[in-house]
Amino acid sequence: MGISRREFLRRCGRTTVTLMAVEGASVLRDWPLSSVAEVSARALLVTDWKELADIALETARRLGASYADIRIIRSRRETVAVGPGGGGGFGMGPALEEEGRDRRPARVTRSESFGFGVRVLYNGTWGFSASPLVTPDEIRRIATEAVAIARANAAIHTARVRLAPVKAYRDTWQTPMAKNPFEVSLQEKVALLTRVEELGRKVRGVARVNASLAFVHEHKRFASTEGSYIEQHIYHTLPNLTVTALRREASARPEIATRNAFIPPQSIGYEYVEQLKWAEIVEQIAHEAVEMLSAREVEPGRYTLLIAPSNLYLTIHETIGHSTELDRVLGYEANFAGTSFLTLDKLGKYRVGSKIVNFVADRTTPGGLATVGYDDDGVPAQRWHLIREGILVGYQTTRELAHAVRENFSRGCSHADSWSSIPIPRMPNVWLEPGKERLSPEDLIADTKAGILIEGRGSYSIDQQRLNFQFGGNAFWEIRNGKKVGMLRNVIYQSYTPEFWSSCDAICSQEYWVNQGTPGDGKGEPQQTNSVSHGCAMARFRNITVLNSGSV
Amino acid sequence: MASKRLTRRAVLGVGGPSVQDRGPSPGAAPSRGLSDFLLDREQVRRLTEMLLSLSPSKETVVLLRRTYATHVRAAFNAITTSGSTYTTSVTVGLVVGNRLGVATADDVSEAALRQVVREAEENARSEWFGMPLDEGRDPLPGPQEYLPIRAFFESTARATPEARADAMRRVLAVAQAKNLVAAAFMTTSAGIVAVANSAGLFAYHASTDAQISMTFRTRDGSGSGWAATSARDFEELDVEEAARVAAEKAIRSVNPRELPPGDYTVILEPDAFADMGPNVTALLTGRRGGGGGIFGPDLSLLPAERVEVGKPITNPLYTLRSDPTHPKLLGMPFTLAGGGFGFGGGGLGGGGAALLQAGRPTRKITWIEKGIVRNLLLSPAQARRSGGEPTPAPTSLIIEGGEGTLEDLIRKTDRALLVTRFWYIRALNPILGTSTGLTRDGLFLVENGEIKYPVKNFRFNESWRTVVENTEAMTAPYKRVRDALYPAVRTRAFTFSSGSDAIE
Repeated sequence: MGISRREFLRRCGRTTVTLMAVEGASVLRDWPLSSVAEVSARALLVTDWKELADIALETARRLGASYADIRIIRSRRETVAVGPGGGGGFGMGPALEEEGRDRRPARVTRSESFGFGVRVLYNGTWGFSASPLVTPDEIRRIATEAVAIARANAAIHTARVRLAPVKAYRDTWQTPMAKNPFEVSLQEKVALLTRVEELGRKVRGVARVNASLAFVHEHKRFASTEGSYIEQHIYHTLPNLTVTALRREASARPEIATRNAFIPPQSIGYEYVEQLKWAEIVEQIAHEAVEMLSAREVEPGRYTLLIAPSNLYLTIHETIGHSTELDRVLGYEANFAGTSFLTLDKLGKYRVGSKIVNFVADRTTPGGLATVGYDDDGVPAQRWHLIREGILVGYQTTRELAHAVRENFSRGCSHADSWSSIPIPRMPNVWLEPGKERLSPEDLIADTKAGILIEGRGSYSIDQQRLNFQFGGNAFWEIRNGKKVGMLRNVIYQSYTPEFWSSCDAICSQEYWVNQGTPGDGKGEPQQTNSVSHGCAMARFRNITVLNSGSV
Repeated sequence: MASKRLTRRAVLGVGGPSVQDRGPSPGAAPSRGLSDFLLDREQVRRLTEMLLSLSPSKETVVLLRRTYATHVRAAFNAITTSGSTYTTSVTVGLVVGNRLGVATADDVSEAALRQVVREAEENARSEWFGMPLDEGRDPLPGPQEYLPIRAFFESTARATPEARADAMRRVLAVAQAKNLVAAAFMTTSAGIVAVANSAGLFAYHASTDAQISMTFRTRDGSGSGWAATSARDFEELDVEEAARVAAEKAIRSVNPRELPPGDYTVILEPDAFADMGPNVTALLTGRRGGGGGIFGPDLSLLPAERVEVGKPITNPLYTLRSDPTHPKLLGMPFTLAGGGFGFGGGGLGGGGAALLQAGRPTRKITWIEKGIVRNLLLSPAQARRSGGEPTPAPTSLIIEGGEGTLEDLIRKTDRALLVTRFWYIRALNPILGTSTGLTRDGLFLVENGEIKYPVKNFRFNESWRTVVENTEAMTAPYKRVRDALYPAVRTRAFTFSSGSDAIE
């Protein structure tokens, strides 16, 4: 049962400012800037959260739910940015000018969110409710509401949910890391970014440098009627660096070009920031940004494309990552992003890509943004193949979806992006296996007679079955007779997923594999966000349609 | 215990929201939870007064938002997930020593309110979070007059899980009856938002909304139709009519013909036009970006074309005006000026100086009439400089200039592609205003005033500026999409650049 108020308040007594004995006050709603209170509050929660969780589970059970789970999540985010206000877009430059705009030397933002969500299954029908007030009374009320919703829906015909079995786990997990980014001083972070910005601005032709660091910490506590109590600490580190070059001529319209370094976001600690070769990176992209000012317009046509990880990861995401989400295949997302061309009848048979193309789904990849100990159904993280030698061999599943592919275990793809969101099937990390034989990007370029090298992310758009897509990029080079001969602009490439991957005839090897990723994948109604990595090495694709985005 | 309860009640008052009763609502009596949750005007006034009295600063702004949101989702003719969420956000911004500090709480208990004021002050004094302000900044706006807008309907706030499930059941029944497979998504929300500042401004607004969208496919997957509708009053949400439209589009879109990519005259239904329609801010500020300048003042990149009142600026067919009182919009009577409004936490240091101007009234204002500028966008500082009145942002927009219905427009059309909606739109080039995207769920060829046959989906690459300049005809405005009221328009030379086999 829940602890008594007196016992609860006794345990509160030691901590500072935030915990008040006021009826209805939110327990532990604050993460004050003082780390002492934070530590005490966290210690308290460790001993008491299971009792709070049990209130939800027992309430739901008592009201007739066959399954229930609760997620109590505290998340916090910090961003530190230097450079003139506004951020660089995809090669497009900063945003609105503001009146009275921010003139701090660095812009720091911090936010947190704390609350809980209860999900129940009643008569094979889901119900969910959530609140930021983490108190016994509120947990009882919310669990009751979740069951009421499930009951109302169960009364009309619904798809009865069947959950694949899962073991009970009592466990804790944390992102492996050496240095907690939230314990590094702002002084240190700002000093690093300021140095980088100064280095970038030294390059002639550079108008502005924007350097930033973002950190995310999710403290998730999960409990279910399966008997699981799982606590996880997940950390993300997201560095960002863009350089904008400017050329003004007397009468002509001034030229601008923005180059983003696309430093891969990772699930890792501050040691990542310290190990990056910032000076080399900023110097390189500063020179490229200046060179982009003189880039030639691309001639539309069909080309061989060499696509670097900083662009290819997004193509993987859109064409393979989303198309193998089993709920999408079955039609759960039909009202939002649509379905998938990879229908069930294609499993084991359909050719998605050439023989050298292999995709792995994996929530265990070190540093992967979707890497966790357990998913939001309480299923341990796993790794498996989606595409093997070009053939579709697997999907992304959850406890609810497993039976659709005749499996009696979940592959662990359930994810809720906050305490107020219902868990839905989400992409794990999906990565492209590197080439088996040693091949560097330089080798690949030297081996290519004519083509375009594409780096960085630009616009991206794909149809509702994941077939027709059109992607841009950030920086482009023409390749002629095995050499880069100058930069191009306004390149966009358009293709169809199976044709595209089937035209892949070379992939660089392991040493050149980069764990790129994105923190902002949208799915679901209501929409949720997901962070996910798509490691890959540079690869070559033959005979792809290229258009000029400045003259469509 | 009793004394603590009294303290909280004394702060927050008792009773539920004083809302317009629209008669008996369906389903069981409302849960006490919601009544306590949606604070009424007096409760909020007491709460904000308490916060302002706790603040050490004479320049303090308080924003409060509480929302109760529900959703029901369906796929393959069955309900899949469904839920509800309670969110609260209290933001305090205060100025100490010419620096603005902002803090947010997700709770309205006395402890949380005291804490958030303390944090805002700490942030103002902090070298990291305190935002330096101009000495000559605009003073806080004092008490304002607001347009009377009643946007709260009991029927929506009190819609029970049974009533909501039943609305979805009726949609699915239409699909079943026509042998179609339905996916759908319905939301309801009931919320309050308030602004108060130490210059005496107090603004409070309660609103509800109900929205539904649905995609119907034929069983063989060769046809797909989409429809959506919304209403602030749950009893007015016409789910059956939307279902009828989605079903008809699905059935009529079977076996689409392939047409070659190229430039086409198109009729854009409101949901499609909303994605490619006029950007008022871009038109009025004369800059060629998507919504403002490309660089800040020290790098003013593109020379601003001079926009003046009385100057023709766009296609004379277009009249663009804001009217938050329009019965189909019932928009916000005041602006929040972007004050760090995430739910359950929000951001520190992200609000910006604009937060201090929160609570300014919106009003009815005509921006562009028959293509000619009637009013410019003026921030308080710009208004001061030019000696005019500041204008609010162009919210609650109505795009008008035409007459008649969509059926009338079709009847008067020689040849055009009728577009239901667009999908996966991404900006290509903000300077030119170009985007790429796809058609979806209902693309038909109209010829000699009639819908002749369905057409295979296209990818497009086009600019909203071209869509507006090339408009040759439009209906009367009739549909709310997000915060604006749109007509259907017929426009020339819309570029469909490649084909897509994707149906659903």
